[in-house]
Amino acid sequence: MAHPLVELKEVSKTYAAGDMRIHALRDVSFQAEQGEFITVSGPSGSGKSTFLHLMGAVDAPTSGEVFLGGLEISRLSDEGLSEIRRKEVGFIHQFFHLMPTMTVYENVALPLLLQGRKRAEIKEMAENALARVGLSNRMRSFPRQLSGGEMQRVAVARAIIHKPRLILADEPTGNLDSGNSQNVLELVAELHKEDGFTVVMATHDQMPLRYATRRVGITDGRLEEGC
Amino acid sequence: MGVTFSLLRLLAWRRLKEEPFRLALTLVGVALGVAVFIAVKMANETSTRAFENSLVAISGKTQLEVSAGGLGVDENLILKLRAMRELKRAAPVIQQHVWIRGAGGSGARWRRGAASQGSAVLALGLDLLGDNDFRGYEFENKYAREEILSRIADPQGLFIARGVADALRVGVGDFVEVEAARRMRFRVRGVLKPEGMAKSMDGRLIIMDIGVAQEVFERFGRLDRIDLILEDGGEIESIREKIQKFLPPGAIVERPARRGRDVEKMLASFQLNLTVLSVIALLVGCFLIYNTMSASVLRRRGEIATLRSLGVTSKGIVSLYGAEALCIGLAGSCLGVAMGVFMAQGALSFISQTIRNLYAFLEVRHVLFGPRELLWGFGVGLGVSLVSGIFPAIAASRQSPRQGIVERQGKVEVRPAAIAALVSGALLIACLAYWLNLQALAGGTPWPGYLSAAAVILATALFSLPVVLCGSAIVRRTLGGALSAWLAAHGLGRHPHRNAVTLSSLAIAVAMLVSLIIMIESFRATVEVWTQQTLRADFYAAPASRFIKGSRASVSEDALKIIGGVSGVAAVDGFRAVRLPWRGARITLAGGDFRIVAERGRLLFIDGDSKETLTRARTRGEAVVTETFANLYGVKKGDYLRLPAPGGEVPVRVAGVYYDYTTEGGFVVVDRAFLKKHWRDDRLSSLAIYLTENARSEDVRKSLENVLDPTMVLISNAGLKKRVSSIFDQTFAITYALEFIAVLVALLGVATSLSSNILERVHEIGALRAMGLNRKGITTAIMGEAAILGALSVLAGLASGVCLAAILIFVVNKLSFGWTIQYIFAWKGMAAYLLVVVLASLAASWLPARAAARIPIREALSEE
Ligand SMILES: Nc1ncnc2c1ncn2[C@@H]1O[C@H](COP(=O)(O)OP(=O)(O)O)[C@@H](O)[C@H]1O
Ligand SMILES: [Mg+2]
Repeated sequence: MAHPLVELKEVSKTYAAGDMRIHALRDVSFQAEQGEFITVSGPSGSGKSTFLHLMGAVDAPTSGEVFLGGLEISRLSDEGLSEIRRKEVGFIHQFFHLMPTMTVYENVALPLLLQGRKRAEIKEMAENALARVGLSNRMRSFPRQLSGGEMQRVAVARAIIHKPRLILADEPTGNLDSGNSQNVLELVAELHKEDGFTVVMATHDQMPLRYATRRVGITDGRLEEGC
Repeated sequence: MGVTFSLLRLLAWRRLKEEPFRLALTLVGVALGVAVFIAVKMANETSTRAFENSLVAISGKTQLEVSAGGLGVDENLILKLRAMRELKRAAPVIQQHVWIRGAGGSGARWRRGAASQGSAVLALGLDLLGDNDFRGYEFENKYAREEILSRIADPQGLFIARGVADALRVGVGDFVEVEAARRMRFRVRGVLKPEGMAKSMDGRLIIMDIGVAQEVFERFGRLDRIDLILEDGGEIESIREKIQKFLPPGAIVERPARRGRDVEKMLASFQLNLTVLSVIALLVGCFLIYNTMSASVLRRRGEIATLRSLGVTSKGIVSLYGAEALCIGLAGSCLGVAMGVFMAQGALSFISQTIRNLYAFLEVRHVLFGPRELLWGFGVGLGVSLVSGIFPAIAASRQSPRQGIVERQGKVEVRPAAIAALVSGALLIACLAYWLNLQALAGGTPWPGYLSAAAVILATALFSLPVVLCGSAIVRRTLGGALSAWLAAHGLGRHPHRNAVTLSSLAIAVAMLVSLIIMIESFRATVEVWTQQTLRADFYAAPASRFIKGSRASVSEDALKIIGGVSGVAAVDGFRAVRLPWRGARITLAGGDFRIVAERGRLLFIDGDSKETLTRARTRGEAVVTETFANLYGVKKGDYLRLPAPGGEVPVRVAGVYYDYTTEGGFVVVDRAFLKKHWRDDRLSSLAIYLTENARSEDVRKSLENVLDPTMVLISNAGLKKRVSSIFDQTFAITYALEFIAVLVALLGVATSLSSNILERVHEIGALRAMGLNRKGITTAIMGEAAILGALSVLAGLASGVCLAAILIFVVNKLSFGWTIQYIFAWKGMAAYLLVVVLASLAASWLPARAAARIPIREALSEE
């Protein structure tokens, strides 16, 4: 019963833009095992985000099948998909997407709140997660009081707090300077080593590649192994 | 200019097309505001104009008129006047209200004892041969001169205007029955062309010979008026003074237009209230535009920055956004004017019905609608949108070219100093409001009261931002356990300014609603207590035409004896009310049987016992006056009134002041024996009938109906109370209707505000969804926001509504109408209404919430 953590079988995704049909992904088949650190590179518009969204159960393919932990997810209801995202997936976005009215602590605790965990448990786990990203002293701050690098570390803490098996990072360094990019990437790599989750990271620059255990590339919606 | 337009076309128009929902709601809101405003304006103006026009038309070329209130003048006076050198013509007039119906066919039976007997019309008794110089009228059919004379000479004939002919479906040669003091049958001898006099009151007019009229109204030897035309070159004012000296006591001579002034004054107060209410809907519409515009400015920060960096000046930005607001205003006004015309028709029928119930006979069917009204509608719509759009436009222009990029994730900050300033400003204005009320009460005019109400509304608006912040903080703290509530509270805190504007508009609408409910319910309760205490007779009888407001119908005193003779009747109180000219206005002098009222009835005196005061007034020839009269003329207990009577002025001491809630503008009541003696009038306007203790009221009713003249209506105590309460409801129906529209507009504000919130929070919603919050969770959180917003608005509105109600009850109403109303707060009904408002704001949030839940996550997460 050894399923790959993620499996895409001949997945295509097309968007209708007016009369045109845009092929964001064409016949992509892909597997990711537990514990891999996979980078997905490709120029802007090549289909990286679409690829991640399909794995993360936030989007459904036009054709083909998507498996997460052995479960076919592309036909699930909103409720089923939401539950998978709540438990199995952690997202890190290029623009952080933190909640501006919530404190750092509240932002990080959010996934646990969504799971309906107990208050004490939430407190312990959130403090722990913040400690791991080195932001214990900024718990009461609001996102706007942080630097870009700090914001992204909050986002990382938020992505890992509920111990998901899959971390999806969509150009996490795209909005950071090189110093901060380095820090965030090292942080993700370290957490990956400690927790053993699978990372799929989209990127269009070189820096993340050296942390990868496996590299794939996308051009024009087509996946190529080993770039 | 050209640049603005091309930018407008390229940017604004496309944006608006992308958000049709929000645009539609804003337009409807603005349109409703404009529609209500011009509808009320048109209906008010139409009814006032109809009233004035009919006055002028019926007076024709009359320059001065002689009258003596309800008692009328002796017909011989006309001969003396004709002898005066300065006068060219003098014409007798009897002007009354009557019921009329067709006399042919099967439906011709009168409904025994019903207050309404067919069509109410204005009846003029004129000297048809000599009246031509005063009032022009032409017949629809062309008659030869002799033919006209023979038609005029027919004592069994009358002339009707087109409106009556249509209402009764009768024509020349048909028979009609007219009911006043007597019921008489006439043949229609001509139908008047709908022009001049015959067009006023929607053509609800009949004309008969003066002699016949005296008979129908039992006014033998008396006239209601004598109309005068002066010799050329005379100076009206000096001639007026000369005639006045020449007249017997109690009679006055004045210009025709003055006759309607008392009624017009009361109409003005009534209409002012409606206008104020209609402005509220407009004001709430203002907030709506402000919200939409500031949301669009906020959302387009990036766009503005780009434009600025491309070299568009800050003035250019102002005109861009100003023009956009104007476009919304223009489209909203078009829609609003169209809706307003329809609404005006409805409003007019309500308003004219209320005027008929409370103030005066008025028939008007068609709203006056011309270019002026059109201009008003557009002017108001554009003005409002410009005023509310200019601030967001200026805010947009202040933005530096860089800011748009820097601030992308920023939460809108509210500095504590700003909150402190708002709170202290609001408190200061509240104090000002209180002071204004004291000024109003001291000065005796309601105007500062209206200002004070405006100040309370302003204070409510200022309080709204602190309320939003506190409210969302409190919910966050206390309901932290409930995830949706917690998220909702965060959502509210995201755009405190916009939510504050939404809150203030809903709070203001709610405040008005609360104050109206309190005012109306207090008024109702007060009137109920009053009717319970003062309407004590078992039956009331009055001529049916008395139920046409402004009617002066009366019956002969014989009715007292006839009714008194019916077995089961213990006592009959004959009541007489006549209008008297006094201090440049007209007051009502009434006569009642004080002995019976003291024993069986009851008046609610401000101080002093009913029985004692009435007995004293009867034995000493003193008067009691209503509170309204006392307030209007500044009269106190113990004062002397000098009332004009045929035998000269009669000084009457005021024995007491009692509460009364009729709209007559106040009464002076004396014992009827006193009235008979000094005013030489022995007729009755109505009768109060008290039964013996063991009489069966159904039996007595039957015997009464047998002996009473068929023109009399008999109403039981319960029936009269029911009538009072149904008139009450009719009166306030339009008030509620206007208020509900204001609340509706505010709810549209909730919907647009939430949908703006959502548009700006797309990324956050996307992130939440990516974290695993399902659609239901998003829907609940956003509807939770609406619920919190609704609840906060209701709380704020309740607080300010309680104050507004106090202003309405203790200041505005007191000073405009002279009524003392008990302040009553009916918890239960209020709670139900307020719950409905909260539920409605929940409902208003449903569509935006659903839309938010349906945003595809990938789109919500992507940056463009
Ligand atoms: N909602 C959409 N409608 C139309 N086209 C889209 C939509 N989302 C993405 N695309 C298109 O799909 C392609 C792949 O997009 P994306 O996965 O975002 O690429 P990347 O993340 O590599 O930049 C692009 O050409 C993009 O324009
Ligand atoms: Mg992308």
